Amino acid sequence: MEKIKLDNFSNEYPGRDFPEYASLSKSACSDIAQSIQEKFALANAIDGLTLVKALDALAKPCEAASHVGEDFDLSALLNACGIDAADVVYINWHRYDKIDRLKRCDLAGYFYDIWYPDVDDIDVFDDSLSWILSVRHDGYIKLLR
Amino acid sequence: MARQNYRNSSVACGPCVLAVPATISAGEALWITIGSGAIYTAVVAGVRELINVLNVNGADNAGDTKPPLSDYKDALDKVHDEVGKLPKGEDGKFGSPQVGDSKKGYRLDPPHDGAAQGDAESKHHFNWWDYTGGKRGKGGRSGDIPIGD
Repeated sequence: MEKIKLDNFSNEYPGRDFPEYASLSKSACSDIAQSIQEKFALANAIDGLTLVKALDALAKPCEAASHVGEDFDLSALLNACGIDAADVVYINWHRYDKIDRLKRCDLAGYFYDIWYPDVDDIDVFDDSLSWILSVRHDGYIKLLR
Repeated sequence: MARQNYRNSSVACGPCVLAVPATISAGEALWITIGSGAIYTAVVAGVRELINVLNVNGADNAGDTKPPLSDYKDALDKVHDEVGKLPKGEDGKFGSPQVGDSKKGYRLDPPHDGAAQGDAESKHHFNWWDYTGGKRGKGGRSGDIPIGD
């Protein structure tokens, strides 16, 4: 998690802790990247850039909601997509080399404190690796299953 | 254009200086210095596009669907008005050249699928952000600027 988000959160919500999260080690990120590569049969995606481009190409526009809006509710969207998401989810910030783990309810509840428009292109997934929900920097949503 | 090995060198092209790495691959960002220090970036999708970049100040720009350099420079001026000039940063997730960092910066992006026609995101564009004052709407600012609009 970028420090600016922790700083902005503490300034906006004095006395409240930022939602608990864990930044995965390089090794753990690498394991996830490899699992995703295998899960989606992307043997040629030998580096992170190729992997995220390949996943983006496979993903489809989310039919339940095209963009995040002011009242965006991640959990409701996942439900609408028929996804039984785990209580703990992951956020990929870059090329599956920067991944944070946190509670889904925290990501949903503080989405706009975590995803910043124009700068962040994120992917959200859980341990099942059976779905990846991507939110582009302009709020456009794609889903890969 | 005469065949010439531009790799691992700097190529002057009118007011531009294009830094060409030793190896070039699709999607790679090249850095161009304009005039006295304004930096702009170009993503090459292959040799043909690189040649177009090298020709960008010349008359032979046929077949290049990217906006002319002057439009990039105009858009970049607007970006600089928002966030100032910043050092080169880590490339974006999909390889787009990025300047600054997650606190304050900007990125040169190609058109995106799913963007509404006429929207900046549907064209070559810059995304910029300044979250040093808070998230957007709470002191933070961000936006997109189309190139050639």
